[in-house]
Amino acid sequence: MKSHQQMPGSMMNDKCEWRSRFHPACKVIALLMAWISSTAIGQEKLSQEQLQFFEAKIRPVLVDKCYACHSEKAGEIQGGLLLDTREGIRRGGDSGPAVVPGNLQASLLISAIQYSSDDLEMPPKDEGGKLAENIIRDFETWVRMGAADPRDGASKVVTRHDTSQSREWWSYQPLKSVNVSSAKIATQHADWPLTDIDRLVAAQWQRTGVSPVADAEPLVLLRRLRFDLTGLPPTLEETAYFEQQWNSQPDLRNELIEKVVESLLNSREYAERWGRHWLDVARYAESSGKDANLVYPHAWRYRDYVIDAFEKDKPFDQFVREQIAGDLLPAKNDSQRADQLIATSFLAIGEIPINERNPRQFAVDLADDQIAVVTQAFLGQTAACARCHDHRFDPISQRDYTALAGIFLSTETKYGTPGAVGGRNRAGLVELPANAGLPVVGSGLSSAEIRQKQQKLERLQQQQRSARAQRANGGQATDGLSDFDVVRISTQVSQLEFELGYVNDDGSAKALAMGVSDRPSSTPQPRRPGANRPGPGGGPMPGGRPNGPGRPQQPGGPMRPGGPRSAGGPAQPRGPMQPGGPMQQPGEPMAGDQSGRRMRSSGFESIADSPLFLRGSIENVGEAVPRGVPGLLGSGTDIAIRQGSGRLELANALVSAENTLTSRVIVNRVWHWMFGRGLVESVDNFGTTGGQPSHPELLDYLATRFVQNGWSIKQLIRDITLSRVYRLSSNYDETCFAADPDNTMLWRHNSRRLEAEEIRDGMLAASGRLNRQPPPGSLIGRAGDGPIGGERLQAVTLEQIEGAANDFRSIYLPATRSVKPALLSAFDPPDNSATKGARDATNVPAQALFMLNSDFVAEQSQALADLALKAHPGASPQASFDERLRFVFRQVLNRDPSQAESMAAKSLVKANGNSRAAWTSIVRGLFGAAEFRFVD
Amino acid sequence: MLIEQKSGQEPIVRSTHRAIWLLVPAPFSEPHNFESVTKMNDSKTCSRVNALLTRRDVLQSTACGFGWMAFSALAGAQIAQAADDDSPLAPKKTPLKPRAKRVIFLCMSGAPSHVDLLDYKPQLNRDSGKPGPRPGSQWLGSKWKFAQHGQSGLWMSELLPQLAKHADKLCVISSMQTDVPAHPQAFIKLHTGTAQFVRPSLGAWTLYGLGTENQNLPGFVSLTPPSGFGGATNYGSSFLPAVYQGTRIGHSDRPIRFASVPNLAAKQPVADQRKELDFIQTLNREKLNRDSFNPEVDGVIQSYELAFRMQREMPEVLDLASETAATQKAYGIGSEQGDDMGRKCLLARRMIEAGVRFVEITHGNWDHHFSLNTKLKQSCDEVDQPIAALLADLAQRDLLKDTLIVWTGEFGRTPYAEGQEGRDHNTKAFSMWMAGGGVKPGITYGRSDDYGYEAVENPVQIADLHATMLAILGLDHESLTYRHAGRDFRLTDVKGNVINDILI
Repeated sequence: MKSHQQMPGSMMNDKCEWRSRFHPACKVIALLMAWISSTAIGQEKLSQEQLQFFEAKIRPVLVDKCYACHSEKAGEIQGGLLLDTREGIRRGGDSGPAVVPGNLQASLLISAIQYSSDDLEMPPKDEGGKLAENIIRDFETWVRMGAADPRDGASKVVTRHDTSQSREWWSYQPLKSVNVSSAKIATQHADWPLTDIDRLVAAQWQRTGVSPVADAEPLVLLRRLRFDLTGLPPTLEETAYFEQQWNSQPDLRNELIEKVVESLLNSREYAERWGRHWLDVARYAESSGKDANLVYPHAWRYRDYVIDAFEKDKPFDQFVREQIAGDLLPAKNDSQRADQLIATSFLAIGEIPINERNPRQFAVDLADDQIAVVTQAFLGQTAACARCHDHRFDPISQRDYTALAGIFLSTETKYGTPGAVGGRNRAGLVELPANAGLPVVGSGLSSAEIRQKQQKLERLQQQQRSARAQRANGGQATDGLSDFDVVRISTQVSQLEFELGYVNDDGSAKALAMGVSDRPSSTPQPRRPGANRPGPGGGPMPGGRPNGPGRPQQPGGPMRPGGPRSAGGPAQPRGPMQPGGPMQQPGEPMAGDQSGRRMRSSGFESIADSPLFLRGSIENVGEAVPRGVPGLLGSGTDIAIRQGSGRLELANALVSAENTLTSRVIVNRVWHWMFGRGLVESVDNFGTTGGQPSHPELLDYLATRFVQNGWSIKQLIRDITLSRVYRLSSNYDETCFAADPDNTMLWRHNSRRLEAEEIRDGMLAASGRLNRQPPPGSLIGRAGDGPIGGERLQAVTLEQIEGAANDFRSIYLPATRSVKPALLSAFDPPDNSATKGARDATNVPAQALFMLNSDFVAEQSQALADLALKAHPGASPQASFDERLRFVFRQVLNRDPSQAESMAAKSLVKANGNSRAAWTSIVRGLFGAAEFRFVD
Repeated sequence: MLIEQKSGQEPIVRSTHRAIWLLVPAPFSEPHNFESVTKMNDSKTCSRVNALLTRRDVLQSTACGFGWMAFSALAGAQIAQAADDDSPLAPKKTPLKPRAKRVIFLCMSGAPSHVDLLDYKPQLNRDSGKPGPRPGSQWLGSKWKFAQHGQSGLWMSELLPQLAKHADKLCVISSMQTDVPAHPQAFIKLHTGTAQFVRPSLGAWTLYGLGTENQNLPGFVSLTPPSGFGGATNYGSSFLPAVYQGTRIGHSDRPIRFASVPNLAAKQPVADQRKELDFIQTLNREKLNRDSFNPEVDGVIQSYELAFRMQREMPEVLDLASETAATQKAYGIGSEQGDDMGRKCLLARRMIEAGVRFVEITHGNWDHHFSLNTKLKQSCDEVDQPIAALLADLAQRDLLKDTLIVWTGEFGRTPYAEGQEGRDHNTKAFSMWMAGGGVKPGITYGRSDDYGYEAVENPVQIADLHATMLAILGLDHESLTYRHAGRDFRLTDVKGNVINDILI
């Protein structure tokens, strides 16, 4: 049956019809009543009339027409729907709630008996067919009046996708303590292991019929270590040293590897490489993506925060806490405070629909992104599936989702974006402590500029006010402004307010970041002049200067997003539907941007629980669910939040000793990044649709040890590199391949294709052109607010991003959504829309074209050719041939050429009379070779 | 060669003279079509003998088993363009009988006004100026005359005089609906089925289902797509393998004559480049020899040969100068209004002729909130001649019978006025048309109310359109699935009904 496969959100699409624009206002009242009545379900005190109505008109029909298939006594319960208790009828079946008190539209039972949809007609035609019209009217009346129902008792939960078994899924079980010494290793492998990791791997070989290949050759191993740990190739000196030590002191090879690993782990290069890994998980991007794709000029601070965290080996539990609740953590000094505030950018850098017209829809979409990234990045759970209905496969209910949603809807997210059309959905930013010593990108404003902008702002605000007044209540405007002009004015006002709101008194730019803060604990009162924006730890809302926080207030007060008031002017005429209080009901007419009217509020203004949105639709408001942390995802028992948003409680639960997921998920990610494949292959999905661990004991061993070692990523990497299994060669073996083609049992090392950044950085490093000292900020940070491309008000052009070229590591290139630097785009850069713990590695002609024809590759090739010619001079192309060839081979492929390769190179050099051209061609060939883009 | 099918697993191909197992990706549940792999591009001159060599034959003919020598000797001779039977892009047999083999999708970005173009509403004209359906709104009659055209008597406005000459080729749907009256959401939904999540695009699904016929060219090309409105999502592959993603040429904010394919132009003489490529392939072959077995390296070798051929064939396809002056003129190239769209339409024809499976053309901007009288006319003038020429050209080349042309916007416009002479967004009714392969010509399907405000007869949702397009291509939208994150996904999710009434 179609309706059972319903995808999360698919119904939502059907519901996002923007009825509000066309709908009569009475719908607001109906829905408000629905909401009130649905929140009152708990008590269910029935009046005599209600009881009579139910017993006389409703129950007999249910018993007669429905119970045969939809009661506990029915043999096979159809559609997972039980109609024999109040709980059952309201919970509904696979397709959603059968009855939503007061809401005919959301009550599937009603549409089923009305036969209004081909997909759902009840009772079925062959079971007596459509009910009589008067009976249908009775049911409608009953639902409209609140669906009073005396049938107490718990309903057996029956769904087609019974998830009760899924609680037994391995990832929800506590970590097992592993006794390595009891690992049974076959005699022929007994001498093989070096470490406990090896013992747990070797224990599986006998059973699975594989045996390990030889250890990797030293230079292969060095190249692997260098790329895996730093994303860069080894230098000539490193190669020579390693080779020399390896050969001269065979007994000290372990110590040699240890020493190399140590120096790599202590480099900034390590942090840049591993920081990039985390940015993939965090869906890091410098623009909002989706429709509007406005830039996030302050996102780079999060990038730098992540790199710093890896460099300092910040304990991972602290890293988790800071990203979810850094603003709520105590700080020793301004620098730590700033660090923790920036960390919460994690929640603000998502792909969000800035252009969304309905602020309420926007708020729940934003919270959905936050739930998705938190549960997937840290827990490997697809909790976002439970937005519209209970998770089909995993034991995550829609209530669990809603409990989490309450946490994020109680959180104010500060992502900036004043350049949205008409200033729509714009938010503030986090102002960082001035004494934190942070770099500030942006030159600030001179006093003349401030004055000029202020005057322009006032003029525009004046225009805006009069335009609005003229258009109020559908009036005909006489100011000659097109609707587009009105929108443009709103956009410019929004931008100017932002620009003026975020400079210091002397005009210097403030240090800003994206991030979050808790909403105020009670609904803010309608703004009054002089009122300061409430909320702890929150950054300021930009105000029309000098109305910013901490400034003497001018008449008009601080600005609110979407409804800025002008300084010195009269209050805006309020339309009948202006936001007044919390929980604006859906269906309320919204001010569309096209006419520049005000946006209504989202209804999420203060800390509050979230209502359950039936079938995920903001139009179908169900009962409120206390915000909290579901035990399964947290510390084993459900945590109810009574104060604050609950982010800190959530963060603590994720890293609590009882959590079964967080430590396993991160050690598995690290394993994936080291081996090209996780012990659990589905690195982002530890739910029941994900994989089983190939080595469950090893996974738990690593996770336990990781926590014991103070959640140290560096220690985990160290442990892995010192194992023998990491040092295996990637050699092919026919027998093992036949038994285990995917190398699940780790009988060899997986060869992996370099990621886009490694390919670019590797070429820059080989050509000697890599600049390891990037300036603060980013191209996007310097561009300022606005959209990417487009005709008007653009912050940055497509060409600037696609053509972005510098000599810094690729992590410092623009990381916008949708538009990518051309230097990365051929090699599968992350898509940035969601957590991505495993990159794609395609093999397509665009990559070959890039290698053969791009200016970038040509430039690096020529640079390296020049180095070779300089190091080994000679007049002709063939002079010092062997030395030159060895030089460029070592520089690019980190090894010496073979006889056949040398001959091929010789004939290529011979064919070209010009030294520089000949050797450029050789180097381009080396960069282009498959070997360069794979690490064995 | 033995082809074995292990139960519940991907088919395994075993080379008979070497004990090597090659895992064949089987993205499509239907059996691979091993017969149709030697499809050649008719426009090319190449010997029959060469044409019959599949890549596998080439590979097997050499001692090393990986065909380097053969490749090297034959490269450049247009020989190795035969589809690789284990390539995910190899042409595939369709589960249903295909009515069309390829698609040209004419996407009118910004939403054209259906009541001024295709949906004739005399009642709207009569009531123009009277109160409309929303408080304070007024009906706005069409300023343009409608007339019946062709044998079929299709009603079309005077804004599309050239297209009107092809009325008997068109199948108009007047009851289209979508749900969000905001461009980005509706645009993404039109292209991927949902704006809620990032999902594979229609073109990617098509390529996944059908493969492509010319392995020297990308199978899915999007000409000047917008960078906003979802950007790359609209031609992306999302969770489908990346080979199915569309190749973008140009951006909507620049005329196509400024567009290019990245790195397509060799910076050195072909002979020199070939020598360099030979060196690269020597390195790759050495690596293969060392590794004994490494399909990834084999893949790199192939991608280089393909890229090398693309350098030659792609510019040829992109080169409109090789068309006669008469053809160019017919498409409107060189004219003030029709130059850009004319180039795109002619490119599209050249591409599908060369074996590209799915070509999308974006034309904007149809978002006529204001100045409808001048701007709508201008938009129409830009596309009318080129599209008419495309239809005529395809018909004349006998390509129309198995090419599906789809013309639509992301939604329609309100029959009531916005401002003095503008129309707002309308998702409750809009019109689109299809032509070509397997679609009933000269009919109108579905009906909107007397004002064109809301579809009242046979409403068609985007999912229905997608289901129907796939059906025309011989694909069943319910069984064209891809397993991702633990479940099977499809373009139409849980929706979509094929509109059988419009199919021949």
